[in-house]
Amino acid sequence: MDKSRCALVLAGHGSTLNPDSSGPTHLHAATIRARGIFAEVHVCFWKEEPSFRQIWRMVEADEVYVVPNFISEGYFTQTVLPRELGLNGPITERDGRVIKYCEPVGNHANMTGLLLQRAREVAPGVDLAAISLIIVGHGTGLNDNSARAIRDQVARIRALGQFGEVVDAFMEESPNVAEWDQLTTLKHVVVVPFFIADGLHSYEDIPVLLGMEAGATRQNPVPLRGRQLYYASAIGTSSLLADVILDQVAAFDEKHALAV
Amino acid sequence: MKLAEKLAAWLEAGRADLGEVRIGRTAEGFELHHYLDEPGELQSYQQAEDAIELGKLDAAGKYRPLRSAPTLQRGWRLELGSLEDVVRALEFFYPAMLGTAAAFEEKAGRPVDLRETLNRQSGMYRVAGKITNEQADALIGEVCPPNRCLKTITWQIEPGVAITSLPAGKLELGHDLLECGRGFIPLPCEECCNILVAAARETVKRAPA
Ligand code: SF4
Repeated sequence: MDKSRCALVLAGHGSTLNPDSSGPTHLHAATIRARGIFAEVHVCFWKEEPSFRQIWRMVEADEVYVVPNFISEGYFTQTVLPRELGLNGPITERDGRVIKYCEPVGNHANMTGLLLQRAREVAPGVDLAAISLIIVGHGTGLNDNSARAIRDQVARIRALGQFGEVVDAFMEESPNVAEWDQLTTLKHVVVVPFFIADGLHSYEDIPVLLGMEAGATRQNPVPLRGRQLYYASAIGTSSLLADVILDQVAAFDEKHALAV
Repeated sequence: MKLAEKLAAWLEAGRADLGEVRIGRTAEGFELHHYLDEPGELQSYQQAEDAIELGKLDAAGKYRPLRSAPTLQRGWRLELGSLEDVVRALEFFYPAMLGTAAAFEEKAGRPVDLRETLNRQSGMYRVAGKITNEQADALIGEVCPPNRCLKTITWQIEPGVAITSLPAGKLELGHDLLECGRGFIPLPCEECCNILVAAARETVKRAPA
């Protein structure tokens, strides 16, 4: 991929409370920057600086790819980001710039590989056929399609036939992750949070719902309810996410027939 | 003009302070440090990305969601080889400020009045638009004074409704809020930040109906 005259902008959520929320977005930006593919790599956030609005004071290139570092299409990618960045579709021409608005990173089919890798590394040495894999998301009414994104991933992983079973679960809708032991049947249960950052949800809320201690250091497995429970870090913290971000840029070019 | 060229011109003109960061020259390149620190017995860093961590927490370890708060920790020295690296580090310390300062200098700044920013909000922040001008003025006086934020406000509450709750210097781009008496690059607040939007929402929600 030669994008040596383009800028890449990663747009994340960020937080005014949690100093680690923007960490993965910064990390993936640094990884991609170090590869020298783009002339510039920037980050911007909803809750942190630079804000989405400020990003155009930072970008110098005339051709810009924006990749939302979000898990799915939804309120942020469809309402907030286009409004704040001044976009009017996948391709916006404005102030002498061409802005290419990619799909959110979590939408890419290659997220499946990340999920599989996370699930395997958290329970090394356990036969995959003996594992019940749970992909956990938030699930809410906030015009958020994360539930669908998770169900899509579950269907894909199930079709691969590697794990004993694969199910979805949510914090705020059913099937609820608190019932993890009823949603699964096998001895080893691996739980992977489908979130962009290790924030309050993945550090505190989900462990509590699982019956573990909040913020407990991840000593896997945890013997619980007669099972062996393995709890992984949020999917967005995987160093491989940088590759999926680049895949999303390539997918944009393919879809809009702009590949060089 | 590219940001690195712009920065070179500013440094040439003796304008080497951006917020609490001072930019100095060394034999090998550049050195950034807190303006109250003397170069010398400081812990050394060499990557522009180190500025992300250095700017994240204050001296007491408290998170700084607003990078322009006058709470930058001290005791570090960031040694960088090129002007491009300096630009990148400064963008981490004070995101988007070099480009914004350059735009205002070229008379291309686009201040957005508070009312317009609030009226644009959606979802849980839409209610923030219900704040009255008087409430907004008082709130700005609480959220934005120089001891909480070093940016210079360039916008009004709404057209013709100026801010009265802040010292005049906070509203003048040429005013040196840190009173260093040296050349500096301003930090223009072109449009109110999310912290003020969130505070406006709280004000509306607290106010008796
Ligand atoms: S609105 Fe502007 S001046 Fe006020 S706190 Fe936010 S950034 Fe600072």
